[in-house]
Order: sequence, then structure tokens, then C-alpha cells
Amino acid sequence: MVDVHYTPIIPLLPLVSFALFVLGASVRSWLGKGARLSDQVAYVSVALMGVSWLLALAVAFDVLVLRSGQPYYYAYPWLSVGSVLIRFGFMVDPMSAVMLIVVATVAFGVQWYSLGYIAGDEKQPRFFAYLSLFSSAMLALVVANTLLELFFAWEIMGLASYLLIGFWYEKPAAMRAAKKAFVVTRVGDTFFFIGMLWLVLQTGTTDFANLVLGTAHGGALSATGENAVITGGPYLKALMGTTTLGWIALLIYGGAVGKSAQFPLHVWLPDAMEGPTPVSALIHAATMVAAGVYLVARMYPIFDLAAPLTVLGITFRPLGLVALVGLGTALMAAYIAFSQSDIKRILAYSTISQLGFMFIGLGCGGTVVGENGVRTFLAIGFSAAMFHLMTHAFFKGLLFLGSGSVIHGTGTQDIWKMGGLWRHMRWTAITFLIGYAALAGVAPLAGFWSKDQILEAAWEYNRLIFWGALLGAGMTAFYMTRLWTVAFTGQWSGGEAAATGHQAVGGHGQHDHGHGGHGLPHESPRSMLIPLVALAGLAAVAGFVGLPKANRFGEMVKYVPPPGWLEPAGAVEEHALHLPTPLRMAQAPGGTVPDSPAVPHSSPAEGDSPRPYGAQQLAPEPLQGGALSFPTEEGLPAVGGEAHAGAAHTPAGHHEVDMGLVWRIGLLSTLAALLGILLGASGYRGRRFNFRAPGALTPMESAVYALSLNKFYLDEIYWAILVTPLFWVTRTARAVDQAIIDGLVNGAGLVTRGISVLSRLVDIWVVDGLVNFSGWICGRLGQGLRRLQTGQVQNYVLVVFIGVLLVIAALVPSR
Amino acid sequence: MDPLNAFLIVSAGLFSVGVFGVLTRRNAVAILMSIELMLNAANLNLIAFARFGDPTVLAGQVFAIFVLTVAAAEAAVGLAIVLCVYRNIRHINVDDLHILKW
Repeated sequence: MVDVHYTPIIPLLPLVSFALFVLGASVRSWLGKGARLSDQVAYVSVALMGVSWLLALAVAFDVLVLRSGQPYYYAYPWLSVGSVLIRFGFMVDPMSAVMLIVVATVAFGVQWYSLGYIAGDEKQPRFFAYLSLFSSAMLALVVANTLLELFFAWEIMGLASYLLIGFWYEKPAAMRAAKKAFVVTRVGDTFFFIGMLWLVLQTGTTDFANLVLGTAHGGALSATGENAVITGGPYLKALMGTTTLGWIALLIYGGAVGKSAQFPLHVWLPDAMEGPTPVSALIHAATMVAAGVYLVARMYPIFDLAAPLTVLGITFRPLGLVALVGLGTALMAAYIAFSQSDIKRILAYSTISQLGFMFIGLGCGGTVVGENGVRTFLAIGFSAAMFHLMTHAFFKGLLFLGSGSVIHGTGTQDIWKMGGLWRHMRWTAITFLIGYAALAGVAPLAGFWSKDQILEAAWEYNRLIFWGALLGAGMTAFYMTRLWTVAFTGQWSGGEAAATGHQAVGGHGQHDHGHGGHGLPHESPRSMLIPLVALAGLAAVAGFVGLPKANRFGEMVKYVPPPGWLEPAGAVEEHALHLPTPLRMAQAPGGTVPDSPAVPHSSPAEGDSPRPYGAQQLAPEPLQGGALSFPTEEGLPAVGGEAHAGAAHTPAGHHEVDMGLVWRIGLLSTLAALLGILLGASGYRGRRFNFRAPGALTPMESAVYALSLNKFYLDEIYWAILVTPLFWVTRTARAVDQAIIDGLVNGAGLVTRGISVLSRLVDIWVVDGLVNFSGWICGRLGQGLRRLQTGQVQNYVLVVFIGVLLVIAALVPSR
Repeated sequence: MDPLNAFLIVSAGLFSVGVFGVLTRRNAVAILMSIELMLNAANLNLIAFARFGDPTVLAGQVFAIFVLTVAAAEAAVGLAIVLCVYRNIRHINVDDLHILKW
């Protein structure tokens, strides 16, 4: 039986296929056969990804069902820097398990789809190599056990994203887009890295087991058999309620802003659509851009347990900022999507907007402090965001793959040059319709459920954000209806040939798979349709895991603040001194049984299980009773209601789902969606709205329209206030470099050279002169003195004799 | 006159004759003979001091015997050298034997 212990193999398999591609190409090139592998090797990549997908499903099933949410944790010591020990390993908690399912499924689908999409491209093997590298990194990211390991995967994903956006690097636009994506996300990554270093400085660990999982023995999760939930880990206790934690959270959030394309760093994502469409589906819609959401969710305790920050006299909680930025991003991107005509760009702005929604969800969860100092915990936001991440990955991946199929079949990306695709590309159209309805929030489809949960969270947190988000939902329905109506209904408008003559599809000649000018659009090959259908199925039903009355998803993936936290704000500091209680209490039952769930999995009792819903006003003494025991006796999944009646998420008693609220919000959001759909459908049927025609708009309206068409001029603004000054600084620096720095260096060189010439002369004449002179003197002396040596024995004897006489003469007078 | 002085005067004269011979003779054999004279002058001194000093101590006489022995050995070596020189350069004139220098 495949169980969680196969986790390390999941990211390894795509990495193996990447290595095979690289090695294979190297070997071929070494043998002199040219580095280009044959197209068939793509099947290796898809097959390995398929195995990886199956393993991911098995592991996720094991963690979520068999182990009832008990995390898998395996790590070994890797780096020891001073007192900081970093362990390398793997962790699969319920949230990771969900991400595994999402990432592996979409990655596998996209690889399969690419078999058809990229066929015939001269760089086909390279494409699969990059895709495998990306999949490996993303899978490694979700099973990482430390922030550092997550960061590695994060950066490898950035690299893979860069390589894939710039896959058609002979196109200048693709090249520029790749560069832009890399540089812009790097801005966020810098903040992330600083935040991580600060966190290590403060806590001495990056291990999730120590930071965010409430367990007794941070490291050895799988051996303790505990059901760990995301909460403040033991290493955070000293920092709880401090602004330091808030700043760290904001820095880490900076990384998420870059990766998940939040305002103001969202500008790279629309340009990233220059990459091949499967890449857009996998990386820039379903997985990588959601990694920022995952990061914030992973580090959620750091965001939640921080004290409010004050900047420029404005006090805010870090999560509030997250929500606000998310709302702004969601509305702005939806507004921009109104006027775009490139099908992929519309979807890209939709992605930005939906990522904004996820951040609204995250930001509207967590703890808020009332004016009486009582902390109130809003439970639903966290799981709503992760839920929306999952459903969005499915339907947005589907929509992108559908758009790829459309581009493949029509040879254009401009929706105005499409039209009537419903008749020509039936399968694509049906699946696209499902994705569109799911995104717009039509009732039983996935997007409806997750979006409603986010709206609920916003309702609990802040009515203004709620109404904003509701407006965003309506806008979403509108621009998607516009896209659908223009591209799929009506008459075929002739594609690229109609507008510009057949000029190889405006630089996207790669889509034009050699079949002359596009006549009528045609349906895509089966290898592309099968993933479409599969994802359409998921987009339709994925929402049912998080129904309001039976929120299996929310019970698995949730955040619970550590006990003691929800007391009046003033009391927390004392509490922070103790070890968070559940961490100690949790050892008691089942403690040392390795790899066995602490709680036998009771049969799930639908309907009446208490739910992590809504705001819970907490009494000031939450440490008594249920709060102590939540990690032990509360099986994470829906265990029978009585068993954990007082369990953690409702420490002060039951909180039933407010079904009235759920109904109201459901109705409101359906109303908003319907309004958007009706407006879009009536406006764009027969293409009545045509704001681009001269004279169609008054100057006032025209300005409003231009704002959307030109993406709020953000690219231009960045160019003006960031890039141009940067160029100026660079040029100035270059001039300074050449004139002053180089001058100094060269001057120093010249002086040195002059000095050494002098030194050489001194050496030759003075030093060598002295040495030679002393030698010469000795020589001359020797020449003179050797005359004394005659070789005549009698001379010597005579000298001796005279010497003796002299000695005697010297001695005689002294007598 | 003290009989010892007479001995010493004869010995000094003999020594002077030897020194003179060593310094002035050109023939190597003659130089060797002059050296013998000097040794015998020394022997005469030793025996004189032995005789006129403490007659019971025979150190002087014994020393003279040793000197004679050494002189005989020295003469043998010296004559051998002279013979070798002669065989090489067909004469034994010490004025021309000055190659033992720089």
C-alpha cells in the first residue's frame, strides 16, 4: 500500500525526468548527434508525472482519510549554523495534502495537454524539461518542512517561470516579459528573504513543526501520533503579541505579493502570457501564483499572532492589510479585464483578481481585537481562502487550457477575431462554459461555494470589504460573460486573416501548426481535450467538499489560535511565557505509538458536526475546559459531534453555522453574478458594446474606458517613476564609473608603474652597485695578498724564523 | 765557567748552523741534514739539562732517545719525498719547487 512514506518520491520523479532530459541532451551533444532529443521523450516526462500524480493522490488520501489529518513529518539534520539547526525533510499536513492533489493534478493534466499543444515545436523536449523542473519545484514547495526549503523551491519555480515565459525567446515580447516577471517577483522575494532571516534571528528555527504546528515535539511529528493543526508553534510563544512578528509577517507577505501578483507587483503576470498557454495554465493560473497564498497560509500564525502595527499614524493588523490589498487588487484587475481583447490577458487579469479574493479570505480570518480588548477569532477566512485556491486552480487551469485550445484552433488570441466557436469547437466550448460558470459563481459549481465562503469571511470581518468583494464577484461575472459572448457565440469573424491578412498570427506563429491560413476554426486533438474534460469535471464538483453544512474541507484545513491567545489583549503577555498549553497536553494519549493516528477514525457524522465557522466571542477564561485538549481528542475530520463538543475552535461553546447568513450571502452573490451575466450577455450579444469605435463614448466615458484599457497606466507609471530613473541612475553610475573609478584605478596603475621604473633604476645602480662593489674590493685585495704565498718552503721558514726572533726580542727586554 | 753554559753554547751554535743550512741550502737533502743538526742541538740541550739538573731523573735522556727515533722516521719520510720529487722533475732544487701556492 502506498502511504505517506512515499512523499519524497513525489517531487523527485519530475526532477528525474528533468535530469534525464538534460543528461540526454548532453550525451547526444557529446556524441556529436546534436543536442535535440526526439519528440518521443515527452512521453517519459508525462509518464513520470503521472506516477507522481498517483503517488500524490495516495499520499493525500492517506493523510486526509486514513490518518485523519495527522501530519506526516520526516526530516534529518542538514545544516547547523551556530545554534540554528536546519532540518531537511518533508511534511504533509492536511493543507499540504490538498495542495498536493491540486498541483499534481493540474501539472499532470497540463503535461498531457502539452503533448498535443506543443507537438511539432522545435523546442518540444526543452519545453517538457522546463515543465518537469517546475512541477518538481512546486511539489517540493508544498511538502517542504522548513521555510528555507520552501524558499528554495520558491526560487526554482521563479527560474522555471522565467524560462517558460521566455520559451519563445526569439520573440522580443516574450523575452521582455520573462525578464520583467523575473525582476518584479525578485523584488518581493527580497522582502521574503529578509523576513525569513529575521524570523530565524528571533526564533532560531524555520521548521514548520516548530513554528506553526501545535505539537509537543516540534520535530518528530510522525512518531508522536498527534493531530497537529496550524496554530502558533512553541517557538513563537516568546514573540506572540509583538510588533516584531507583525513586521516579519509583512516582509514575508512581500514575497507573496510578488509571486501572487498582488498590487503593486502584479504587473508581471499579464505580460507572462507571452509564454505558451499550458504554461499560463499551470504556472500563472493554477499553481505558482497561488504559492503566495499558500505561503501566507503556511505562515498564518505569524500573521495572526502579531500585534497591530502603526505606520504613519495608521494602526492596522497585518492581516487587515492583506485583505485590503487583496480587495484593491481584485477590483482593479477585474476592472482592467473589462476592456482587454486578448483572451489570455483577460484570464490573466481574472487570475490576479481571484488571487485578490484568496487574500481577502486570508485577511478576513484570524483574530481581531474589539474595543473592549476582547480578542475575537474569525475562523472561516483561512480555510475559505485555501478552498478558493483549490477550486480556482481547477477552473482557471481549465479556462487557460480551453483558451489554449481556442488559440490552437483559430490561430488568434484576439476575442474580437473569434466568434461562433460554440459551433466549431464543441468540446472546447462545453468545457470552457463550465469553467466560465464556475468562475462567475453559478450555483452548484466549484467557484460558487468557495467564493461564498470568502464573502462570509468578509461579512464577519468588515462589511465594507464584503460589499467590495461582492462588487468584484459581479464584475467577474461580467467580464467572463463578455469573453464568452464575444468569442463563443455569434458568427465566426474570420480569425487573424480577416483583419491583417495572414501574417503568421501576429507573432504567435508557433500556434499555427503548419496548416496554411486558418479557415474555419477546428477542434483540437484528443490529447488536448481529455485533460479539458477531466478538469471540467473537477471544476464542476470540487466545490462539494466544502458545502456550508458539511464543510469537510474546512475541518481539515484550518487554523486555530493557540490557547490563551483569545484572552483580553492585556493578559496575553503573561501567557506567552508559558509553553502553549496544547503542546504539553498533547503528549498524553497515544503519545509514543509511531505512525498511528491518535484518534481512531470515527465514522463521519455529517450535518451536526460543529464547524469552524463564524465569529466566536470568547470568555476571558478559555484555558479551562475544551481549549486545553483540542489537539488530542479532536480528530481533525468530522468526528462525531459529542466527542469534541468543547473542542478548540469553539472553546466557548458551540457555534452552529448561521444558515441564515449563508443563505443571504448565497442569494446576494448569485444576484451579483446574474446581474453581471445579464449585463454582459445583453451588452455583447451581437457585439453591441463597441467602445473602441470613434465617437461611441463621451470624453468622460472615454477616460473611464481608457483607464481600464491601459491598465490604470501602471506600466507607464512604473516606467516613468521607477525604470526611467533607474536607467538614469545606471547611466550616471556608468559615467561615474568610467570617469572617476576607472580614472582612479588607471591613475593608480600609472603611478605604480612610474614608481617601479624608478625602483628598478635604484635597484640596478645602488643595490646591485653596492653588492658588486664589495665583491670587486674583495677581489682586488685577494689579488694583492696572494703574492705573499710564494710556494717556496724556505721563504716560509724564513718568516717563521724572523717571527721567532721577534718574539724573543719582545720577551728579552721584559726580563 | 759553568759547564752547563758550555754545553748550551755548543748547542746554540749547532742549532744556528742548522738554521742557516735550512735557510740557505738549495739541495733538499742538505736541508734534511740541517734539520738533523737542529734536532741534535735540541738533544744536546735535553741531556745537558738532565745531567746538570736532577741526575736521578732520567727524563731528559729518555726524551732524547724519543727525538732520535722521531728523527729517524722523519728522515725516512723526507728522503722518500725527495726521491719522489727527483723522479718527477729530475732534480731536487727547492728554488724551483714552488707550485704549492695559489
